[in-house]
Formats: sequence, C-alpha cells, structure tokens
Amino acid sequence: MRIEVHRRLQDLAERSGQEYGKLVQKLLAIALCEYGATRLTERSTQGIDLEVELPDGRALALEVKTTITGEVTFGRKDIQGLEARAAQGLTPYFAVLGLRLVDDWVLARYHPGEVQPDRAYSPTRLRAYRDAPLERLVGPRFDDVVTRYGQAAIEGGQAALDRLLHGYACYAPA
Amino acid sequence: MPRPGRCGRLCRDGAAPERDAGGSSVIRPLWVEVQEFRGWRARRRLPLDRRLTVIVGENRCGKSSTLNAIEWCLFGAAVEKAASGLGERADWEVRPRGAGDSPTEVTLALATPEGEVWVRRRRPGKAKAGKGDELSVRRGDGTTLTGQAAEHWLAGQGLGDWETYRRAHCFHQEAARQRVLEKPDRSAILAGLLGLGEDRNLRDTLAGLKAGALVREVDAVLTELGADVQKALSRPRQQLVALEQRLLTQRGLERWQLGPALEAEVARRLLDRARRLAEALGVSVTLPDVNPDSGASINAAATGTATATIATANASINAAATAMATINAAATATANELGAVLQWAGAWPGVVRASAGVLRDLPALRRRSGSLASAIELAAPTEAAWRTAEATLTAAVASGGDEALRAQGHQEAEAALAEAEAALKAAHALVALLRDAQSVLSARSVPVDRSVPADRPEPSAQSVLAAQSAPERCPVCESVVPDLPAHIDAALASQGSQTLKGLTEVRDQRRAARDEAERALQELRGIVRRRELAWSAWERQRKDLAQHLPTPLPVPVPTPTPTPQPTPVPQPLPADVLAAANAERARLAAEVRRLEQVESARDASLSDHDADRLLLKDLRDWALASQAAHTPVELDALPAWAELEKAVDEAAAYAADVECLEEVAREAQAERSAARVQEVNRTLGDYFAAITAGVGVGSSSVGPGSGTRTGSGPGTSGSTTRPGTGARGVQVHVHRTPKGLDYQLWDGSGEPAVPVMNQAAINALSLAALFAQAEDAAARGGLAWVVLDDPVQSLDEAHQQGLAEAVRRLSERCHVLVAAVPSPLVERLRTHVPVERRFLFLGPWQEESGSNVAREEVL
Amino acid sequence: MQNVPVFMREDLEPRIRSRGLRVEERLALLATLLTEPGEPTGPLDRREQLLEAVRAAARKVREALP
Repeated sequence: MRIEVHRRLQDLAERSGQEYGKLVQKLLAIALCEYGATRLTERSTQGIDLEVELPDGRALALEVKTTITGEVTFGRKDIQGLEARAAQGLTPYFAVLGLRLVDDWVLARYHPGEVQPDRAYSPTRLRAYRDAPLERLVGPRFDDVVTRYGQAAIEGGQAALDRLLHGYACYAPA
Repeated sequence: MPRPGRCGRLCRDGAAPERDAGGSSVIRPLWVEVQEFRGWRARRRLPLDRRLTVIVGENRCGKSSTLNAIEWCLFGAAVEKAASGLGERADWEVRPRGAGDSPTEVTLALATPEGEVWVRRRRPGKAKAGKGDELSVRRGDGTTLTGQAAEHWLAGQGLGDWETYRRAHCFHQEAARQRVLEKPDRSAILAGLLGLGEDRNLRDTLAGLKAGALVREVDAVLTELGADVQKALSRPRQQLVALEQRLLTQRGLERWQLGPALEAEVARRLLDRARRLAEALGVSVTLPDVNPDSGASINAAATGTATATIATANASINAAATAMATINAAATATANELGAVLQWAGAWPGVVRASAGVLRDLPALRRRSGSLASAIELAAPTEAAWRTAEATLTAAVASGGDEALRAQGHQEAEAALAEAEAALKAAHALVALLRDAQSVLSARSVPVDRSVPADRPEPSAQSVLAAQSAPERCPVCESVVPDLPAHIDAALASQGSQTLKGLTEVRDQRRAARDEAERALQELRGIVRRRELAWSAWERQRKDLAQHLPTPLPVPVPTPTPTPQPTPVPQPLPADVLAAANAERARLAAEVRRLEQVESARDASLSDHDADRLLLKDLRDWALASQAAHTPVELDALPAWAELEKAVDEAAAYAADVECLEEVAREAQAERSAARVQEVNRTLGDYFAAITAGVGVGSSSVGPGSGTRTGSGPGTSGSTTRPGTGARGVQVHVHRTPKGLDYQLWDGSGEPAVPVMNQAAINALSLAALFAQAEDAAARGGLAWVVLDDPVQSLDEAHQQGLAEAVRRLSERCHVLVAAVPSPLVERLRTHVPVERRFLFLGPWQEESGSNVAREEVL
Repeated sequence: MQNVPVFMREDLEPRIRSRGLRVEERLALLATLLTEPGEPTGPLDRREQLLEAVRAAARKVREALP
C-alpha cells in the first residue's frame, strides 16, 4: 500500500484500539460508494459486514477482517452468513487487510470447503482465492478515502464515518 | 513398463492386479535356501510351499535363524542390529563364527502372478554389514534384476519396507506390545487393519509438504521486505532533513532560503569570480552558460502557477499536470545548467593551475632569484677578501716600497754585511798574523810558558823582539821593519779588541739590517701572493656571477701583476659585476613578489571558489533530495512488484491445493474407515476370541447397538466411531482429531482395552490384530503371508489351543510360517488344523554343520 | 514417499472435482505423488521452487527501491 496510507492506518490502529476493524470496514464501504456502488449496506454488528451492488450489476457479500498480528479467523457464523448470501445470489467474498507496508486488500472469493471456520489464516494464504481485478478497482479508492477521511475516523470514530456514509445515495440501512 | 512404487502393481495405469493361472493375485513363499547365515552353515533348502509351515525345535536350534534369513534376504541390513527396531538384535551377527571366506547367501523362492521368482541376497566373506551385499531377482521370464532394479521390483510387490513388513506380516515376541501399545505402530497397524495404510501414507506425504509452513515462510519474506521498503522509502525524507540541518548549522541557511534562486546566485558568483581570475592571470578559458534568470524564473513560475494549479486541480487535473510539467521542464533545464556549472566548478582549479598564465614564469623566476642570491652570497665575501688583500698590498707598498725597492735594499744590506764581514775577517787575519809574528818572535827568544794562563796578557812584541837578536826583521815576510816589535805591538793594539769589537758590531748591525730587509721583502711577497690568490677566487666568482645577469657585462680580464705597482690600479669591473648582480637580484625579487601576490590572489580566489562549489553541491543535493522526498514511490509501479505478487499468489495457491488434498484425503479415509471398521472389528474380535478362547475376555466382537455413530466425546472433535455397547470383545475405535484419524483398541465397555490387559492378553490382541490385517491384505491382493516367531510365550495351553484355531482360520486365506518350540500349539497344529501343512523338526545345532532338519512331516 | 494406489485416485478425483476450484492443478498435484522423490516434478521440489521464486522476486523489489 502507499506509504502515506500505511502511515494513516497505523495511526488509526494505534489510536482507535478495538474499533480499528470497524473503522476500516466503514472506510472500505465509503470507498465502494466512491467507486460508484449503486447500493450498499454496512453492518457493524450481526450479519454480513458489507453487501454491495456494483455499477456492473454484480452483487457482492463481503466479510471484512483486518489484522495487525498477521492472521484472521472466520467464525462459523461468518461462513454461514456468506453461504446464505451465496444462496441468495450474491457473490461471497472475504475482504482482508493486513497492516504491513507490503499488504493491500485481499478480496478472496469464498468457496465452500476451502476456508475452515475458527482456523487462523494469514492474508497471504487467502490470496489463493483473490479477485485481482476487483482489488484493482477498490484499492486506489480506498487509499484515497483513507487519505481524506483517516483523520476524521481518528477524531470522530464510527459516528463520523457513519455520517459520511449516510451522505451517499447508494447507502441503504441494514 | 509400469513405474515401480510401493503399490506398483496397483499403479499400472489403473489396471486390476495381475492374477496367476489359478486366479490368485497373492505372493506366496515356495522355499528358502540358506548358507552361512547365523545358525545355518552348509547350504540347506527348506520348503515353504504348504499353507502352513511349522519349524519346530528346542532353543538355539535355528528356528529364528530361518525366519531371520527370510527377512535378511528381502530387506538386507535393515533387519540387522539397531536398524531392525528390535532390541534383541542389537549385537546380532549375520555370519556364523568360523564362516571364514565363505559367502553368506539366502535365496527365497516366491510364487507370484508373473511366475516363480527367486530373490537372492549374497554377502561376500569379508564384507561388512550393508556394504558389498549383492541383491538379485530372477524373474519368471528368466530375466535377472540386480541392485536398485531388484529393490524396485521388491518394492513394487509390497516388499520394499522392513518396517511395514515387520508390522504387517510378522510376530516377534519383543514387538508384540509395541504393536498395540505404541502409537505409531498401533496407528499404522490398525490403519492397515482397516485397509487404510495407503491413506495414512498419502496423508503423511501431504503433511510432509508443510503447506502451512510454506505460507509462514512466504509471510516472513514479505514482512522482512516490508521493513526494508519502509526504510528505503523513509530514507529520502531522512536525507532531506539531515541536509537541511547541515545547511543550517554549517552555512546558516534557513529552509526558506534554499531553492533554485540561491543555486543560480551561487553559480553566477562562481562564474564571475572565475572570469576575474582568468583576466588577472591572463588566461583564456571557456565558462559554462547560465541563464541569469533561471532561478528566479522557476520561483516565479512555481509561485505564480501554484495557486492557479491548486484551484483548478479538481476541475482539471490535466491542466495542473501540464503546468507542473512546464515547471518541471524549466526546473529540469535549470538543473541541467547547474549540473554543468557544478561539473565545470570541480574541474576549474585544475584548469587554472594547469594554465598558469602570468604565473607561468614564477617558478623560473624564483629559481633564478634564489640561484643569484646564492651566487652573490658566495661572491661577496670573495670580493671583499680580494679588496682587503689589495688594500693591504697598497699599504705595504706605500709604507715600505714595492718589491723591487725592497729587493734592492736587501741587496745593499747583503753587500754591506759582506763588507763588514770581510773587514772583520781581515782584521781577524791581521791579528792572527801579528799573533803569529809575535809567536815566532816568542819562539825564537823566549819559550812560551805554556803554564802561563791564557788570559795573561801576551808579552808585547817589543819585549819579544827585544829579546831576539835581529829584532827588526819580520819573521813572516822577512821584511825589515824598523821598530818592528813596536809596530807589531801597535798593530795588535789597534787591531785588538777595540777594532775587532767595532768591526764585529758593524757586522752585527749590518747583519740585522740585512735580516730586516729580507723580512720586509718576504713580507711584501707574501702580501702579493695573497692578493693573487684573492684575485683568482674572486675571478671565478665573478664569472659565475656574470652568468646570472641578463646580459653578461664585457669583462676584460686584468692580468694580476706579480709585483705591485707603486700606486694601486683601480678595478672597476669586479665591483660592477657584484653591483649589477645585486641590482638584478633586487629586480628579480620585486618581480617574484609581484607574481606571488598574483598567486596569493589566485589561491584565495580558488579557495572561495571551492567554498561556493561545495555550497552549490549541497544546494544541488538538497534539490535532488527534496525531489526524491516528495516523489512518491508506488510499489505496484515497479515491474519487480508484479513478479513478486505472482510468485506469492502461486505459493498461496499451492498451499491451498495441498490443504485441499489433505482435507479430501482425510474425508476419504474417514469414510473408508467408517465403512470398514465394522467388518474389521468383526474379524479382529473373532481372532481375539479364538485366541483367548473365552479365557477371561469376552467373545465375539459385535453386539446389538454397535456400529458407526458420529458424535463428539470428551477430548475429541469431529466424528467418533464407538464400539457397540454390551460387547466385551476388542474393537478398533476410530477417533477423528484436527490432525487426522487416530486409532485405538477399546474393549466392549467403550474404554481403552490395553491398559488393563496382562501379557497373555496383549499377546493375544497383538496376534489378533496381525491376523485380521493379514486376512484383509490377502483379500485385497499382495503378500499373503504371516510369520510367527515363537508365539507361544506367555500363552498357556488354552491360549495356545486358541492360537492354533486362529492359525487355522488364517491359513485358509494366507500362508503361515510358524517357528515354535515343541508345545501344545505345535501339537494342536498337527492334529486340529485341516490345511496342507509341513512340519520341519530341527535337530540340535552342531558346531561344524550348524542347524539341520532332523525330520520332516508333510500333512 | 508413498505412491497413491489407483483405487484411491478413483476415490479422490471426484471429490476434488466436486469442489470446482483449481481442479486441474489439484489433480496434477495428486499425480505428482506417483513420482519418486527427486524427480523434477516431485511435490517437494515444487514447494522449494515456489518459495525460492518468492525470495528471488523480493530481492528484485529490494534492488529496485530508491
């Protein structure tokens, strides 16, 4: 990732503590809105983290994870949620972001049986399922959003980002 | 040609196992021939072709040696000593004592689907274990394989691995407990029992690929790279800050002062200074061109455009980019100019020093001046010495005359002295004559009284003559002199002391005068000589000095006169040379001083130049560092980055593939074991029951309610296959863990069976597991053979009878080779096992002939 | 290194295909388990090749840094 974005995310992680993952999720949501999503639902609590319809008509369900230590774990409910969305016609993804300078979003397709619940995976491992074109679309927008709203996230937390999200026409409440 | 493999015959392009004419796909023993192997000495062949072969004999007759020979033939050094995994073989020796040079050789004949095959292993007489063993396989078609090809063939028949053979086909007393107690053996055996040997092998192979570790290693590479990238990307900023700090502390330049304008100013200063220096030195040089407005123009352009650029950035990124491109182009052009100036500035001092200009002659002038000063330094004292000598001569001549005069005086003094000396001499002669006359006269008249003291006055002539007869005739010349004696006396009186004294004084005076004249003459001569020497020395110096003068003065050489003239002749020329030399020296010194001032000015100029050059370099470095610090490096723009992403993705995909295969293999294994466990448990239970014959342990295995259930129990995860309730027989319990399937033996109450068993029961269980596995393996094709080495230990008669029953059942499906002491087992096998069987009764072991078959019984 | 018997391949292949992901690659990996150790396409060699490719690419990135 860009060095400036890395610096801001490090800052965000240090200063937001447990909220870091949620803040990144909202920044990702904003990035998708910036990309031109026609519909986006973001959940910070129960259920699938992000459901988004892209301009090209694709409908995605994303389970978002961030890691500072280098590993993420998906619970049974995460996987069941993705399977449920898959059954409804959405394309299920894991969206994972590490915090090394060499890390970027890994948008990994969910395939039944490939990722086991409650088992630690590094973002590198999930690259086996990555959707590189989608990452190329989302990545630069995310960098831009972090640059513009990273400070707001630090200062205003989730509420500040929620206010921003609500400002997008594509945003649909859960 | 099928590839060799452990289950090569099953890998032949998916074809079914080959079968012999009788439809059997198994491998059976036919005979074994042994020579010089442990208890066996002379070559002996033992038939093994019956379903059941029993080798009977007391201890140390060669029973175990026979079974060991078969093992050694198939597996070589792997069955020897510690490699065998059997402690009792720790100090094994293959060759019997006294074998000498005879080779050890064992040949095992097998009936295989391809026909009769002989496997032969030979160890030459002096070869050590494992080294020099020769393995050959003579196949059914008559071809013979040796070495690695032979080993591959054996592996293809399932005979490549001693460990598997030991676990799956042999019963060794020592290993009985291992089979059911130690997890690796137990798991392998029970997995084999369930027909899952290959599953385990596959999973072991996949686990050996360490997919998780691969991902961790890749992550480690990425983490390290990330740290290096961070350092590298931070470096320009750090360098910039360090440069700015240095410019502030060393040059007092604030950040806002740094920029193209200052660079241009310094560049112009460098060039102006150089121009002035060139003029002062009178050299012609080419200086680089610098746009006098370059720095200011960039600053103005940047300032003027910046605001507009930012204002329009959002609306027209292209316009901003174009503006920036213009600034960058101007900056680049200026940067190129300044780069050229910097390059020139580095070379300038060398150019100046090489060109020299007006300073070109300075070194020569210095040399001339120094040389002239040295010559003057040498010449001046010489000239002074000459002058002194000249003055001394003049003074001497003035005071005492010149040499001629002095010589003349000397001559006159010499003559006067001679005259005085002559007079004195004459006087002395006259006195002597008179004394002679007197003495003659005395002699004539008066004897000389020799006793008279000498100082006594001589008697007068008168008295003497008075005393003679003819007193007036001179006795010397016979002249008649009147009054001769008186004359003589008078003459003596006048020539006497007074006259002689006077003459002597005259002589002495004249002598002194002569000496004085001589001294004066010599003195003058000395002065003249010294003057001559001083002149010669001065002459040499003068000539040398004249050479240092720009136009040598015409110098007629005066001839030094041997005698000085009465008045000294002036010598203007030598004084002029020295004066001219001094004048020249003064001129040279002035010129050197002037040029040295030019030189100092040049050095000062170059020193200032160097300071400005270093300043310009720092400003250039700052500009480059500033550019680098503000130029973002996008990793994904690097070609190498794309290559790295690709490599990481491939590694991740590979890890995913391996993990997928592991999961798939685990699923398949679990399904197969679930499918087979019931059947296997039935077999295992039957054998166990048969061996134990109901002694203290439950009978048949499976009771009501048994079967495969899934669920989780304490300490487990995943599915678990439990034995049925109410059954007291031993069951294989399959337990699924995150790492894979684990197999244990449980009793009918659902608890691990082994911990509560005695040795007999453990032996029975071990045998039951072995028999069940062998029966299963024979059903699937492969080596249908079980070897039991002394199975009766710890078994009482009832158990032995049960064992015989189990052997009977097994021998319906496999070949069984038993080595046992005479026992109820042997008797039972003779009488109650209705399969074709052979009993080989070994006699006592002999020292020379070794083991032997005393009796053979075929039933 | 053990070989994979035919009956196992026949069992495993459908399971691999049913997952529908990287089928050909995974079947190829299974096939490599038939080779003897040390043959060029052995799975252990492949693992080392992949790791070395990552290391080599990381070196190139390092060299390309300013």
